[in-house]
Amino acid sequence: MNDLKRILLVEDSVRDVELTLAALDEHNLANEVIVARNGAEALDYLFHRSEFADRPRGNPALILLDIKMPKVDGLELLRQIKSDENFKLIPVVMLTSSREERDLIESYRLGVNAYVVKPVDFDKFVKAVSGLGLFWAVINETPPGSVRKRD
Amino acid sequence: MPGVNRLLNFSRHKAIALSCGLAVIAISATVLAGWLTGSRALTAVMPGLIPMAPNTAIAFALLGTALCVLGGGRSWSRAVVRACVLLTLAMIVPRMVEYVLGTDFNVDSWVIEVPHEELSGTPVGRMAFFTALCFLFASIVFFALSLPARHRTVEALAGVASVTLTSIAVIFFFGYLIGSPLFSVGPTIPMALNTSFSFLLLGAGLISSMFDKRLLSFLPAELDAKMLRMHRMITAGFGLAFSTVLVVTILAYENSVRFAENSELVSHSYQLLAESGGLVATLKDAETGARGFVLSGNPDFLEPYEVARGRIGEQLLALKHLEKHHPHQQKRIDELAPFIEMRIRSATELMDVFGLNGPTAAQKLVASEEWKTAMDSIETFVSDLQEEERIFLELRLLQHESGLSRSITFFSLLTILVIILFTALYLVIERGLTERQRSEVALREAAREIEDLYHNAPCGYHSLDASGTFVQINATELSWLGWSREEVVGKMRFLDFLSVAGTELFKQSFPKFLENGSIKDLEFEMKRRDGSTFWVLLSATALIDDRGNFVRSRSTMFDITDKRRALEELHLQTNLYDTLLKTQSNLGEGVIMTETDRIIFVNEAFCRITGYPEVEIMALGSIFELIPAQRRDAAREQVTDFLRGETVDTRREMLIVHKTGRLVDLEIASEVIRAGGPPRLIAIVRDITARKNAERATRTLNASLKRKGEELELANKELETFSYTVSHDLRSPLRHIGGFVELLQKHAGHTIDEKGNRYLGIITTAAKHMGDLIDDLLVFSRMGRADLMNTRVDLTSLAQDVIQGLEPDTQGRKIQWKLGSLPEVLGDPSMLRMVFVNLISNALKYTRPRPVAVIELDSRKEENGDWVVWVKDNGVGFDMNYVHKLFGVFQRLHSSDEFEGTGIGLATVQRIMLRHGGRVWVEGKLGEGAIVYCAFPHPEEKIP
Repeated sequence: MNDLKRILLVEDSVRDVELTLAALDEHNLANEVIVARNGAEALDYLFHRSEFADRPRGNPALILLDIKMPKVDGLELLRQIKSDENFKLIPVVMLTSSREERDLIESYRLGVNAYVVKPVDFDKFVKAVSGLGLFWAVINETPPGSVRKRD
Repeated sequence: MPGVNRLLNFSRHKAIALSCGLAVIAISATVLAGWLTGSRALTAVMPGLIPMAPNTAIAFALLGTALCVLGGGRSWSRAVVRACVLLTLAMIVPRMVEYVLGTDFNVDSWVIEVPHEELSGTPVGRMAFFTALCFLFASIVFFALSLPARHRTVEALAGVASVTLTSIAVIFFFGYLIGSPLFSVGPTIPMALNTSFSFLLLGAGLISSMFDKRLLSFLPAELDAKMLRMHRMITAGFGLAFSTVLVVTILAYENSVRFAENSELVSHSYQLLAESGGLVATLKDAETGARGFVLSGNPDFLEPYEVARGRIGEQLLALKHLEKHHPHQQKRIDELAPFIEMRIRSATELMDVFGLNGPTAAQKLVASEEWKTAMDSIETFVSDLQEEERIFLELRLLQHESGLSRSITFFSLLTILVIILFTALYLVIERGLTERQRSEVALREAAREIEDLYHNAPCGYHSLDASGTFVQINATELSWLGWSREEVVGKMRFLDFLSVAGTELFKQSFPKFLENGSIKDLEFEMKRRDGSTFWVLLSATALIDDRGNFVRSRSTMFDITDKRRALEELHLQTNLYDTLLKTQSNLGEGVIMTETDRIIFVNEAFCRITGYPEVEIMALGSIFELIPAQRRDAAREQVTDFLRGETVDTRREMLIVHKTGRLVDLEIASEVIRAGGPPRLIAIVRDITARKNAERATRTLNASLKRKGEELELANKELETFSYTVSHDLRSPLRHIGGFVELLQKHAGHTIDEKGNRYLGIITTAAKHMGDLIDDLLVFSRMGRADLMNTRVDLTSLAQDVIQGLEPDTQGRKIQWKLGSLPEVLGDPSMLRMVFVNLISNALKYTRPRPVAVIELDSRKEENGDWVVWVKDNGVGFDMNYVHKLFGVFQRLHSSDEFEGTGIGLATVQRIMLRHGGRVWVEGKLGEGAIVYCAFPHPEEKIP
């Protein structure tokens, strides 16, 4: 495969992380996934803080965001990302259980790039996640400054 | 004319009369006291003057009393006056009779005995003729004045009588003042000084009394004060002139009488002298004759002697007669008579001696001393007599001469006085006449002015006689009536112009008017010549003549037709107003009227609303008393502004306190009435307590509804949170179950047996079903909460779209679609789509057992404008007994084994229809299919 782009997965549920990673792995997209367990950790990562102080430079090519999270939730994180000059060009995709309209509208209002509801059916889930990974991490041209992993 | 009356100053005249009367009484009392006590000093003014007779004093006492009470003017005073007059006449008339008949009834001693005395030849205590005459005059005057109503002639007579008596008194009084030329002369006893003074007082009093009322009664009322004063001056001047002329006349008479008397006396003296001389000559003749005879013896000588003897007695008698008024001389003559007798006898003796003794003896006798002495003494006597008479004569001649010159002076003075008086009178009269002429011109002008005013005044004037016939009528009234003066005056009666009702009123009021002398403000309806009528307001006074007889009326009338019409109009309006108020009252609308804030009117309904009887409301005074204390100031401000015209809100609500203390809500419509005076406020009030209470209840209800709404909203929020949790958190475990089962199968599928794989399959299906349930529930919940769009939706195309979308599910089935025309409705397109999806899915689902599914979609318009759309199938149908369960969430009539489903579809349809203001119902029969109806409301009344 080509260069895989780094994906930041922000998800509090370990099971979902596992399922997501499993789904991405189906298409060998799991290697460059950085998992943040909540919005605060994601910010730490983005700003090179605490445990991510030594991480390699460069922004992720895609951020997958759950909405409902402890501490800083998905919408708040989205707002901060999209209002920061350094990060606002990073594509952000909501990957959430919520079908709620208000979440949908709020997300788009804040400038989300895509909104995907996690299907209950695992097959569908796999298709959705892998599709996402393929599109954003492979097909889509990332804005300049994104970090690519070279095999 | 009250002005003139005031000028006449009645009280002053009365005071003068009273003073004169009292003075007269005082004088007469003094004189009577003198007579009764014998003090002669009191009866006369001074010794030597003739006293006032007792009868005179009594008469003065009576008339003085009469003068005092004359001013009273009442019936008793008139009676007293007449009694005094009658008593006086009782004394005067017999005395007059005495004078006329020349007899003596001794009238003067009837009351008080009068001594037989004389003073300088005048008998004392006898009433003088002029005194009696004056009393007669005075009696006439008093009697005239005591008459209640007098004729002008009587009054003139009284005036003349009083002036005459005063003049006589003046003459005598003057006589005393100028040295009493009238004192001892005249045909009768002279008037005493105090008598003449008393008459002066009496006359002054009477004239004053007459000025008081009598003389003036025939003066024209128009005479002003000046004319009156002039009139008095003329009267007084004439009185004085008349008196003076009378004095002159009487004095002239007296003087000529005295002159004649004096001349007679002088001639008498000459006669006496001649007579006495004749007597001596006769005696000497007799003497000579006797001597001659004695000497000669010749009897011829005896002839003269005989003649003398015959004449001497005659001559002596004549002499004595001549001296009859001179007792002294008479005495002398009486003394002389014996000498003459003796002389005559001596001559006779001589004759006898001669005859007997011869001539010698006779001669001897003649030559004797005795003879000679006798003759001498006779001569002495006569010469004495003559001497005395000569002195008398001389005195008389002297007296005559001085009297004559004094009379000439006196007459000259009086004549000058008379001339002066008449000149003055002439001037006064002349001036009076000019004055009168001038005032007559002024009067004529004034009269013309008055006449003009009379005729052209804006009111009607007329005069009626006692029969009610017109005597006078002014032009204004004639123009009202439409008749001419000639037709009306003297020919028509007031009655002829009156309406029927007016005639009655006139017949009642006219006799009363004649009796009382006035009427006021009577309203008559009068007829014009053309038959139309008009109303007048009439007042009248009666003109009464001196004798109290009705002369004519003096009536004033005003045309009050307009006023009456206005009054009638007002009456009508008042009636209308009353009726309106009453009607309003019946409606329950209170009416209140105030003057500023003071209540001046309330109607019955207002009393009912406030609970106070009318009297109590009026007693409250201010309208603010009805307003709750804490709102009073605000209300006062409001009303003040309103009255000032600063605010115009004529309708407002207000709270007042009912008599029982409860509050009453009023709706008030008010207006300000300005018509002079303080502004008036009229307000119509309606008790709206019930409505206000309802409003308050509604407000409370609304508040609680709002609270409920808020609670509901809160509940919805909670539900939302719940749904969110469900959608997010419930689905995660399901996904995990599904996901990890899948991973398990992938990871260890080959190690798990068939049975194990089946179980894993069931777990996956169950998890999926659970996911569907959750999704449907979330949709259902969202349908209730989501905002509703409101656009035109064409249901036909929507239905076709849905049918098309469901095609994958109908693969391999025979389905007969009957799509009728569906309406266009207002609503939310996505929600309505959900309705059709649900309904058509159900129809497809329940017709699955049928070889040919017949699904019909159609609509109809109801009478009320609603659209009813239905979906009919020939599916398995249902038992109508369970129809109520169809719309419950999770309620199912079939098992999942027969027909899959979550049991939420119809509930969602119902919720969507309800949110569109419509409704949904189903009809069905087990085994024969079902129809689901959806009613869309008429566009106008939809979408809450």
